[in-house]
Amino acid sequence: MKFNIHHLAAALLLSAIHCQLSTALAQGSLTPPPGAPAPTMKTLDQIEARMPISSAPFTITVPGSYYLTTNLTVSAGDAITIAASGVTLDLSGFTIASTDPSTTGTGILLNSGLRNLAILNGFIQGGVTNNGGVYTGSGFGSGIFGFPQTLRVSGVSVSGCLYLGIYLGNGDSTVVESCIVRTVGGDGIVAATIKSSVAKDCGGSAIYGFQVADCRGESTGGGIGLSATTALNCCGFSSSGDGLDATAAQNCYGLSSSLGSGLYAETAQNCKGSSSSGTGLYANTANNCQGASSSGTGLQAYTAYNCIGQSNGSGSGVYADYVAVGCYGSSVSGYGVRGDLVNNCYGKSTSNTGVSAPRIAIGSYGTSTSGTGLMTIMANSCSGSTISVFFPYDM
Amino acid sequence: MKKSFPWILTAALGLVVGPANAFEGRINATLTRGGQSQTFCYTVGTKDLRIERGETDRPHARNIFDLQTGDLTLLFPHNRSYVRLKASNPNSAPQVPGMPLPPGGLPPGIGPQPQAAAPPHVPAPPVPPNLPALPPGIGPQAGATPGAPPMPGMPAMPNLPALPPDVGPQAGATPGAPAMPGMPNMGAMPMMPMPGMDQLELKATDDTKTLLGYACIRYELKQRGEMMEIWATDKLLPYQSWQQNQPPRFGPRMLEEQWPELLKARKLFPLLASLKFENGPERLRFEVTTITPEKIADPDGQLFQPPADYHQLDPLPF
Repeated sequence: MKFNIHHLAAALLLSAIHCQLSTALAQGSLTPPPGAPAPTMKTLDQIEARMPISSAPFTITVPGSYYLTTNLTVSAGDAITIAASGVTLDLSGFTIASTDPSTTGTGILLNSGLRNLAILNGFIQGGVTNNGGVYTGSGFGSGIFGFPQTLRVSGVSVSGCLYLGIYLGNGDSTVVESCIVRTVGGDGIVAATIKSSVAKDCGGSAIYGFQVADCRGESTGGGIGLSATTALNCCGFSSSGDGLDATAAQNCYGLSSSLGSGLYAETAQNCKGSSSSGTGLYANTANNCQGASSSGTGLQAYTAYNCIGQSNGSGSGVYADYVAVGCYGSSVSGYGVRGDLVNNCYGKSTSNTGVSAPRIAIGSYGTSTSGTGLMTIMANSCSGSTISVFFPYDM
Repeated sequence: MKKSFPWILTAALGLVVGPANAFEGRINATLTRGGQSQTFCYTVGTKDLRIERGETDRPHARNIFDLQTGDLTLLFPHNRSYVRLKASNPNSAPQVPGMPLPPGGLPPGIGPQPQAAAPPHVPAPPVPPNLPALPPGIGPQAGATPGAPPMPGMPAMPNLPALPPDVGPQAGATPGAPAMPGMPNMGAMPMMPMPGMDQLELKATDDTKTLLGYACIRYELKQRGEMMEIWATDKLLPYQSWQQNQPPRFGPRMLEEQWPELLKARKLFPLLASLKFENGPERLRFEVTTITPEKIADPDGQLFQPPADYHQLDPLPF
């Protein structure tokens, strides 16, 4: 009880001090400033220096910072045209829409060669829909279109356009980040650098860029799900094209529902590819990868390290043009694992050869139901359900 | 020698301008891969070629090739648009999409460099400090040909220590010693090519046969463990495969994507082609089913042009 009384007293003392301080700080000087009285208010420009846009169509011809004050809708043509460099356009969470039945306009059109642009935070929306692979409806032809030199698009969602979502041409300094494109008849997002973005239900290629990271692209047509020189932590799906194409792919997944390759890269690391009839994963060098195909080859590479491949048809599980190391492959009627040099691999096939090594096999095992388990010229420390080896060592 | 000059000039001009196509008519073909089949109809005019898919399960792209320039127009019925793709140069094989260059070209010192002067905004590379002279035979040496790129010299092979007795080939083997058993006849070790830089060569064989009334020669195309057998004729038109989308893309190129270009460069059209893994099942088969020579009627001039209500799109960049 004694403890509680002390605490109560301390709290009352602090409260009294706080009230006195607040009172002292709240009031200004009682001495008026010298001279005649003058307004002390801030101008509107001081409070909001940006220029408002409240109607469309609107063309920006002067550098500066612009913002939307409301949703905008056009019935024909382009909504906003940027015709000057040094422009920041903040959509402020509003929507730019179109009801144009000709679908030829653009939500935000950029004149060519502009620099230092930014487009932020909002929505561009048309009424185009995908009906069984055919894109029809009214609205914009493209969401954001142009050939700028430097531009950043951030936090913008585009949907329902007949042709293109966000297309920034071949400028080397264009960045699209945290954007979403959905239901466009052609290409989804095309820019130099694309990150943390999604393009889905695109009739053409969904995402196409130089550096692409943390993205997902889905093509409903013959386009590629995601295509990049470097793809990091990405997913790409395609109905009839390749799921994901890249010069270098890391931590990526690609899926093709048709003849295309699931994932297709010069170098693939920690990746997975799946395909219906094409090759699951095709790479020059595959490292820690997995590939699967219903009727094609599961994983094909010049050199495959620590990979898994599976084919449920006539393709091979793992087909290494040169070297397979630490791989597992299985196939119904193709090779389980094939490589000129096979090292520490396990191959399984129902009717073909489990492990086929036209030159050398080391430390590998092959099994086959009706074919040969392991077949090679020179083998060292290998075994199989049945083996066919010209020069066995340590076996 | 003088007489041959006009002939050479004429031949060169012929290559540049390109002759009108000899064959006119329709060709139907089937491509089977991974258990799936696609059918194609080639409508061959005198100057243009139209390729379309036979399937109607989805609105497939249509191709229109200008046979003289090699330009390709891709028609996309699914959203009524089209893209025009220029050929790299007239009458050449279709562009082989190589490694895409980064915008602005390759970094200095890597790959082929443009001859033009550097743009003004690109700072000149710093002058390297004076380095100590390289040992003879290593790296560029003073006194190299001006303007010529310095070629690094190959260091001399060191003398290898002698192998222990009974291991490997011995110099001056003891006379009378039993000869080593001959190694089995194994194929030569393949040269390790740079990944993605294999040179594919279409080799003609002596085999011939007539397919659908056309005399064909058998060609072979080999790449590592894959072998493609192609029966082709030069009496139709240079082959062009159907493109479902814009061809330039990143990543490597599979054999099935390269063989059409090799045929086209030789002005051959395949009537039957089969791609197999070595001793493996067939994984791609292209087969012409019908060839109908006929005059192609195009009264409204629309067969080899995009429809009027189609919207032209820009090709993919980079």
